[in-house]
Amino acid sequence: MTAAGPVPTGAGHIRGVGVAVLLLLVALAWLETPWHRRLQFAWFDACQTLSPRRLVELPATVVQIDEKALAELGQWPWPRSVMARLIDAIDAHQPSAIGIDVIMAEPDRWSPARLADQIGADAETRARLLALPDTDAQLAEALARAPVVLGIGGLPDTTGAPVRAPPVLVRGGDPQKGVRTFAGVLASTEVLDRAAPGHGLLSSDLEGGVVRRMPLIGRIGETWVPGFSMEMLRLASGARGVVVHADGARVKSVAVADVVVPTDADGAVWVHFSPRDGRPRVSAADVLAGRADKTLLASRMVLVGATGLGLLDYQTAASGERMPGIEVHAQVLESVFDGAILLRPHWMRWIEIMLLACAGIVLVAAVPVFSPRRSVLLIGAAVAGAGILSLGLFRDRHLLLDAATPSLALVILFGALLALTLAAATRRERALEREVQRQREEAARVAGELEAARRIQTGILPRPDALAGETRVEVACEMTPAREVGGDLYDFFALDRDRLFFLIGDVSGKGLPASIFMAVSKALYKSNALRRGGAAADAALIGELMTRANAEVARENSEAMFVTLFAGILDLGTGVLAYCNAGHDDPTLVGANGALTRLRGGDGPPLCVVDDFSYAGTTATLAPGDLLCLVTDGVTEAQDRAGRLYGGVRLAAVLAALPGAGLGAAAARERIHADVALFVGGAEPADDLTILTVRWNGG
Amino acid sequence: MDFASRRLADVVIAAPAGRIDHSSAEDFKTRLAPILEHCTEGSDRVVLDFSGVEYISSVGLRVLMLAAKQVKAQKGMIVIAGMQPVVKEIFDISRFNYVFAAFPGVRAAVGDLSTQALALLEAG
Repeated sequence: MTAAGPVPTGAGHIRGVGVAVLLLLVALAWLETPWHRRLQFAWFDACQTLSPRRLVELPATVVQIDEKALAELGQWPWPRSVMARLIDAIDAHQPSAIGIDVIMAEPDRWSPARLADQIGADAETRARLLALPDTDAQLAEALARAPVVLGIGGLPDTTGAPVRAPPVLVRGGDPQKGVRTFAGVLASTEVLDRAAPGHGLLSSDLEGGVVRRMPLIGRIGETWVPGFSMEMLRLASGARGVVVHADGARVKSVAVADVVVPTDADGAVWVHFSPRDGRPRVSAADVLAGRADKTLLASRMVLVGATGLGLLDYQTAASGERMPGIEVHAQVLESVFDGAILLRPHWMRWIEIMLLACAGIVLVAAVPVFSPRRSVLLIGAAVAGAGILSLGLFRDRHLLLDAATPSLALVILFGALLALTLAAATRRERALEREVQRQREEAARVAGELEAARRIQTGILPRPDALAGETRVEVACEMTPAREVGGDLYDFFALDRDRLFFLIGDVSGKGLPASIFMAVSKALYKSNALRRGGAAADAALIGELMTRANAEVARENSEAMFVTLFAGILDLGTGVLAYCNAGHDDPTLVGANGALTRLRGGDGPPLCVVDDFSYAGTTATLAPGDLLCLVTDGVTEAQDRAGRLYGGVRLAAVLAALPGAGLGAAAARERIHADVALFVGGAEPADDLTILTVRWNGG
Repeated sequence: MDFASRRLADVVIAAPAGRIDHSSAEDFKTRLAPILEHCTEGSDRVVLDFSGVEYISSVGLRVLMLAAKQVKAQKGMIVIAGMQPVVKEIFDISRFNYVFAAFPGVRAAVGDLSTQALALLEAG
């Protein structure tokens, strides 16, 4: 298995990388990069679109300085006297508060004194003009009479102008550093600013040109300033000041009288937008002409602002709709009345990080062992689950949970895990292919070896014509190898004119080693057997051969095999057989009269079993016509389909019948083989089958 | 093939059962190995109780051959006992009686190896 190399199992390795990627993503999510904020806003905006606020309470009416008003009353900005008339007209209907989303930072250009300068009036005209009431003073008087909130703006640089704001009481901590703070103020002219009973902060920070949040409390310089909406509420409720509830450095809520509005830590709220249609609005022209629906103004909070398209006070809301700035304030007031203020508490980040971490761990554990299909279902469920949770919190709890960041992070993690998993699968597949290829090559190699082994085994068998012309003895032999190469061996050859040497054996085991072992054993015999002596000398010789073969074969025996071997030297003149048996089945001597004799004695253990065994041969004397039958266990242990063994008894019966038929060595061998084949039927031979028959016809 | 072993003083009796052929010889070898490890001079003697063995093939004999060689090299003692007639015949044919001292039963084998173990065996 070394060729294929280690096959990467994958899962552990992939999980390691997955955990690293997850940690990186968690860290990125924690850092809240600008990209991350954009993603959050995109998701929150999507929530606004999917689940807009439904109009319930309509506490505010918008008095629009619209195209109609501009057409009737002339170009913007109007003379302050017109503004004064407008406020008086609204105030006549006794609204609870009037908010002016217009900052009048310069003196009125239509004031009589200015007019006189501009037109270059003569002394008389100038005197008459100056006798007219000052328009700024007129407006100041109107502002002072009514519950008016003037909008003020925050500027990045100090202006030195005074900041007028109602008393703000901070309770429970010091959130100064956290709230939106401006350096300078952009307010209306001193005379107007001083006259107005209320001042509210109009400024909100746009994110990418989109208005999403409005501060309910802020600071200009060292002064706390309520948001425009909160100041409207304060005047409407008649409260003296605004209360900021804090928790340490974080704002918890902003309150006016008994209206407590929870906020984010910086004192701002997320506006839950509704579509523009359906909100009460009146044209300033109609108010001035006395045509306005009285119920839209009485006891309501009235917001005055420019909505004329030419006036360019349009902003894009989080819902994607473009609306005038004054509408945004109306929406904030509605949200406050509905209790529909959106919040993103500071701990929401923790929830998102936890969601990411938990779902990430599940992905890391599951994706490397899941099928791609199940993995996709899993990530789909995770993303959908986050989305549903977030939308549910948005709609039912007015909480902003960012589902987009964990989802995107999980998709990135999933992509990485899937890529690694697929790569590992591909690697495994390639490794498998290599292994299959290797096994094919190995099989081809073994097949080649087996073929070589077969050639060795058959190539060293004695040639059938080895005893041509010899009449005193007949030798017949047949070996039927099993499917793979076996370890049976036999040999016979004339030592000299009067002596026949033969052997039969069986190497335990199969395959090339057995075959080579067999070849070596035979060669040893052949090289050692060519000596001459009498019968006693032959018996000694064969014992000595066996002992030497045992020692030498044992030395080569790295495969720990053993060989059963029967070797004999037949004196063709006298019929004396010298033999030695190393653990082989005793040969049977079939007498001419049908008597069967087993050749016992002269024996020892199979070769290689006892390394230093000293074998001693013995002798037997054959009568003319005696047939010696030697077999390997391929005969006695041949099995039929039912697994029954052929056995020595059945063999003996066949042997006993041979003399009656008067058969020679070759015919006897055929008869035995045929009987074994009959017994076995079609069963595949499990072992080599070898039959050696020697018939001595007499000297 | 099943395999059981028990100890009587310094004698370990290993008792395989069933057929020891090409399908079970490796298992037999594995089970026998830890027992053979301690079959050394002056240490454990081993009795192979073959009363439960129905058949042993040449592959099984090879395991016995290796066992005999190992024990011989360790100067230990290993004998075989209680062979059924079929197995006895296989032993006789392949002359493994030259390799192992064989006893008709476990009692005789234990008695030959250790009086102490025999006493335990007698005591039941």
